[in-house]
Amino acid sequence: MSINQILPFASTLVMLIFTVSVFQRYAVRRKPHFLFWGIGLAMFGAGSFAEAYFSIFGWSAVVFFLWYFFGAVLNAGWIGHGTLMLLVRKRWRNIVTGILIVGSLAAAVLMFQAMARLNPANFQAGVPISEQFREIMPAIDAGGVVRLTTPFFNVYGMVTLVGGALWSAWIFLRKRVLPNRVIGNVLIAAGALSIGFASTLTRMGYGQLLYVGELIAAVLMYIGFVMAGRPEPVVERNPVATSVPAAGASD
Amino acid sequence: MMDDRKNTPSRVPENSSFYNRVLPVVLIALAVVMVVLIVVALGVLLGYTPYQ
Repeated sequence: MSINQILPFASTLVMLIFTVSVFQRYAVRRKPHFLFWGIGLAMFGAGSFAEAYFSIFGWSAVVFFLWYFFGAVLNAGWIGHGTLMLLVRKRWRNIVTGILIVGSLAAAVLMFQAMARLNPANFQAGVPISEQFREIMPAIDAGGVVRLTTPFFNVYGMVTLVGGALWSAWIFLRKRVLPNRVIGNVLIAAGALSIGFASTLTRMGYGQLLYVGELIAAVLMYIGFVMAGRPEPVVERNPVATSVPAAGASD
Repeated sequence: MMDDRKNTPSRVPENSSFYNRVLPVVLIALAVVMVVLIVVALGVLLGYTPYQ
């Protein structure tokens, strides 16, 4: 097996553990940001699983749907939306949640339109799907309009997830409290940026680094999530107000 | 006996060059990378960046 066949399995395993951890936390605390993080991470995992599937079993239209729709289009936006749920007021949360759901449904319609125009004859076994999906999907002006939706979801996810994590890390650092959340949020931001960077390169025609970027993202974000949610070591007796929401924190 | 240590956050070490110097630089660097990626994505949307 080549390294590009092994990496998606590793990413899928990490994302599975990560997703289960987040859903467990949602089951206990019933906070909506855990739900959106969990859904987004499950989408990320579906994308990684699809890559692993392609490397072993070859072409499948359903798996291609999973890979592109959940792995390339939606996951960043939904993970980032979880962070937004922590940072803004309820009224805005409801409005943006509605926009995200409607946008996702619209993207689904466009994805189904593209699915009818796929060209599976161009699929090459042994070649990472990130390097050959352009030959399989229709061009934008030939029914592949869904490809135009990826920047919207990914920019939204980038701003909310990375921006939220960096902002939280900065606030904690400035207040000189909760160093585990400072580090945890930095790791979450770095992980999200690694997949964002790899995705951007893929979009520009350099898909070789996507699987490495995915694994780095999965590992860094999971470690960051665990660190940010870790119970605090008790080191002093003077209470300090810490009402600042933390991206990736246990809340 | 009341445990007044509960809900007490830990503190960032006062004289740590990692927290005082390295982390702020890392935060700024990550923010710059984020802005670059967003600009590239917006370039794709607006047609300035090659899209495949």
